[in-house]
Amino acid sequence: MTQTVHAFIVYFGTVWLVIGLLFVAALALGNVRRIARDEE
Amino acid sequence: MNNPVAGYVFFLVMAVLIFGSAYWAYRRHTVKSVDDFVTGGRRMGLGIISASIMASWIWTTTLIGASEAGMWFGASGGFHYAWGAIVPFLVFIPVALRLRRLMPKASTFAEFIRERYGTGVHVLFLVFGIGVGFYVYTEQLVGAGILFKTTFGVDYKVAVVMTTALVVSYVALGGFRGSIVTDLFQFAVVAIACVFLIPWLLAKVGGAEFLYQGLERVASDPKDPNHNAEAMDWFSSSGLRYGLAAVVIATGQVLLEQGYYQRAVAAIDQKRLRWAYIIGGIVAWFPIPLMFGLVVGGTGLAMGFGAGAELESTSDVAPYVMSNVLGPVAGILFSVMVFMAATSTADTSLAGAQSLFTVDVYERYWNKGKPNERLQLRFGRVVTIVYGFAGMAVALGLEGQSLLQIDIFSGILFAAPVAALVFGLFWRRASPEAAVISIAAGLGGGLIAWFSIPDEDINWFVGNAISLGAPIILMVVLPLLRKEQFEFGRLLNWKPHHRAVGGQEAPATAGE
Repeated sequence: MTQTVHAFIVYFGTVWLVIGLLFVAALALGNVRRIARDEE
Repeated sequence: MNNPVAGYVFFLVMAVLIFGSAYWAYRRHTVKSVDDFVTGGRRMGLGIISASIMASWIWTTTLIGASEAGMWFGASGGFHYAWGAIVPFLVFIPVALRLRRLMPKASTFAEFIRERYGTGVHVLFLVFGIGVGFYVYTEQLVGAGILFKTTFGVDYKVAVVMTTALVVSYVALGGFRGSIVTDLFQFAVVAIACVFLIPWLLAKVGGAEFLYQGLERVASDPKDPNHNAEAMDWFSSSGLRYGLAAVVIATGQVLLEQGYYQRAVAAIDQKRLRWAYIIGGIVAWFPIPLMFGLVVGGTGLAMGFGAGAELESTSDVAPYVMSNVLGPVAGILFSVMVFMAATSTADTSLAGAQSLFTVDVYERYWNKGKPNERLQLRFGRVVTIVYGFAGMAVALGLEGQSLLQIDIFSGILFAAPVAALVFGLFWRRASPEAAVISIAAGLGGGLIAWFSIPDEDINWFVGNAISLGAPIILMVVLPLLRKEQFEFGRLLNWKPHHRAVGGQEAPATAGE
């Protein structure tokens, strides 16, 4: 594995981790707010 | 940090936050029916299920074990851990969709087994389903005990008892809804910690270049304490074998775990079910072990941390790197993550077992008449407490045991019934006789291989492969000897004894 490939995997994985978790957090938050609004 | 008082304060804060969120949900929505208790009303949205899937599939070993895999296998360690554990989830998606389509009012996979294969096989699957949940639940208690002992110096037994009391209390109170609400909280904490810790560690050590130089040294220098000629090989044979073993071991842990079927049943509709498992598994879960192996394990390699020197064993690499490279704040943040991972997985397994007892055991064997839902709920809560503390008793006896060894052995025990379940869902000719024979052959063959092959480097692999593979062959061959075919259409109007919603896709108004 070349240094370029290794660096790409490390930085791509970091972006994937951050974006993926924030994306699911945003989805979950949207669900919770919708449920709270429906219950009101 | 060797400060038991800090450990007790840490636990108290975590317990107040986790139990507080479950109690808040319980007060807002008091459980009124058995169906609500075990399915949460079947109206959960995409985001909630995705977050819950991620939180449930993050074990203590996902964080600690993936980092250790990075030490063992080099650059590819985290990747092999991740793909090995995600494949069973990809198998689970069509299984859950099919189950929901065939029996819209079912709330457990065991209800399908009873209608498909009859009472004898139902009892067999209940034993395996409850056994898988018990094993996973107990292992998380052991993980929590080790965490408190190594991080704070709290007595292992005290830590296991405290964690049990916490998890049992909120699952017994709120049922599946309690598990889901706390999953959201646990997901948020793990996500925040990951989003900070990985980029922080990468910046602190000097980026990917530093990790690469470390890998080069580990691969080329025989004097390095972690020397591994395959450290830079993304498709190393040892790494691939490790990933393959993870597939076999995790298959039974996913496909026989009622906790995951509960989440599938709880989704508003099939489209959201499918996407929730893809997003929760691939988008949110997969990069966590990948990056813990690559960056945390990679840091351990690059800094030359070795077992017997800085580390007691390679299992210690993640807490050691967090505390000693990033400092005590990161060490505490990592401990919070591991505790959240342990409790979220433990509550998933406990709530799964709770639904098997409350629905299958109570309605079919405990009280065969028209059940009283109030008594049925009470039965579910009492069983949760008994089951929870039985797991605690076993966890107390496992102090000092190798979790990896137990995990590998569990693959042999729980992989054998998977073929009967999957073939029963998709093939009309799968028969109860073939199901029983295939399970017995897979389990027996796996155990014989484990105990009779003297080479300890291959006996576990052969045992696991036989346990999963032999039943698949038998489930293909044996049903061909009979002509009977099962009529799936008759399952569509099946109803449980308790009142159950479902049967049509609920309108997408709640939570979506």
